[in-house]
Amino acid sequence: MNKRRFVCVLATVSAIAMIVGCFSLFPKLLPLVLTFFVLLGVLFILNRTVLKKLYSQRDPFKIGGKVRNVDYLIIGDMINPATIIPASKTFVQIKAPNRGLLVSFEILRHTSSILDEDNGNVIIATTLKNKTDDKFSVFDIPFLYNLSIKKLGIERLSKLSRYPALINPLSSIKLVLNLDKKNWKETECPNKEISIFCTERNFNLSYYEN
Amino acid sequence: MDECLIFGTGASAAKDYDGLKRVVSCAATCGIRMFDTAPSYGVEEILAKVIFDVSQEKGLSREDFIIQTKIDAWQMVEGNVEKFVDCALQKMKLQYIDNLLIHWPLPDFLDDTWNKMKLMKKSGKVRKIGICNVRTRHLNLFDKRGVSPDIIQIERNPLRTCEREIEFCKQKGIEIQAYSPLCKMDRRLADSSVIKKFSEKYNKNIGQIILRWHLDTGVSPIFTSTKDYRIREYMDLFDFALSEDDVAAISALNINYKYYLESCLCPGF
Ligand SMILES: NC(=O)c1ccc[n+]([C@@H]2O[C@H](COP(=O)([O-])OP(=O)(O)OC[C@H]3O[C@@H](n4cnc5c(N)ncnc54)[C@H](OP(=O)(O)O)[C@@H]3O)[C@@H](O)[C@H]2O)c1
Repeated sequence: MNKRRFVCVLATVSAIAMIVGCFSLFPKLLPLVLTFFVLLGVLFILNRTVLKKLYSQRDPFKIGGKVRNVDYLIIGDMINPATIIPASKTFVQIKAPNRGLLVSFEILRHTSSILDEDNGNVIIATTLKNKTDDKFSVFDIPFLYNLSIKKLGIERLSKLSRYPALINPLSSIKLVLNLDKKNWKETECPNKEISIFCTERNFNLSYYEN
Repeated sequence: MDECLIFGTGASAAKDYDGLKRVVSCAATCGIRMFDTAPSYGVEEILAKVIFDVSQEKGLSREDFIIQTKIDAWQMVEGNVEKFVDCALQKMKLQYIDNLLIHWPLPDFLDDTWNKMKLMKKSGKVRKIGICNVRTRHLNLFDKRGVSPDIIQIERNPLRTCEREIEFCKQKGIEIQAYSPLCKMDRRLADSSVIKKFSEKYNKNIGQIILRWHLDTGVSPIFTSTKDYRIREYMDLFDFALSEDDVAAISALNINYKYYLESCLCPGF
């Protein structure tokens, strides 16, 4: 048995001994503690599922990956791609609840190379209230380069990004349940910089607002 | 400079002194004189020592070798590029670096880094300067701003032929180097019926046909291998040339596949 394993086993055994000891002294605490552990378990499972979901969104971007030259790159809030792009087109989506416009732009700056260089389409979808939001969340970290994380001053958030369900439980549930928002309207992108970025790279930009 | 084979020391290369010495020695015996490295490959110092030792053993001098290294993205961000180059020269015990390239054209730091590199070239610390991972979009922009690299290094292989970049560079007299020239021998190349056909026709293996295609299209491939026999095989391609039609048939395999997605490593690419 290696040292780490030994410490884990020792910690588990002591925790069980403490819990059993506690219950024999204060039996009324049992339901409370049980609820606590059940919640902890749920949080743990939720966290794993969110991470899995996030990393599956990041998968296409990995070095040597086979997904390349897609027709559409969809970034932003929870929008159902089937409602905005033709079924025959290829796409990659990077979505998270309440992702703002400027954060979506930063993610676009990190991911645009996955698009077809001659016919690529960028779709950004944000809700009205997040139109000028530049607050990064734990859901954005997997798509950012480590030098950018440093430059943006979000190293602490980056460390916390291993625990999205703990930091952002509600949004985590929305992401896992794929709760897409409805009633998206296509309109002009309010940020000129994004339009210029896309024009310079020959990408068509569509902006959706909710 | 004429197209030649360049030996790379990136991710797939040997990283320890003995491993690197074996392949560099083999490459040097086969006539390879140009070696590509970067701070992020973690072998700058070892490579320089290996080259020094190999040159002594083979009766060659420093001038016989071309050592190419890079300015990494983090170094551009830190900003003190001259200091990093001085440090590299000291570590590598070199008087000058033959080729110094910007590894990733980080938009916010490109101008500053380039200006410093130009000064280093003027002072003789560096012989040639260049930029990796650029597309025609960048090259056009550089051209407008009077930035003229001596060399560009791009990911290129039959799955990604970069025709526009090649044409641009040929017009401007810029040396073109192709990294991942075999696309790490991707199955789509290894199993390609087109390349297999030429392999039979010219009696060369798939790798040799692809490397020859690079040379015949005016590009110097930067390949790497941990195997001596492969290095020897890949150097055995100067006794034939592909016909124009065969070059075109290989170029037609292009699907613009990128092993590395530039924007992930160079935000704002
Ligand atoms: N500027 C940049 O951003 C950048 C990026 C990447 C690379 N580079 C440079 O380019 C150099 C080469 O890049 P690369 O490693 O991607 O080049 P590559 O030559 O396309 O791939 C080398 C890999 O392919 C394998 N290989 C070669 N022939 C094979 C065959 N017939 N069957 C099976 N496997 C085969 C080699 O394995 P064995 O060892 O078994 O032969 C090695 O792992 C690097 O070392 C680095 O110097 C620059």
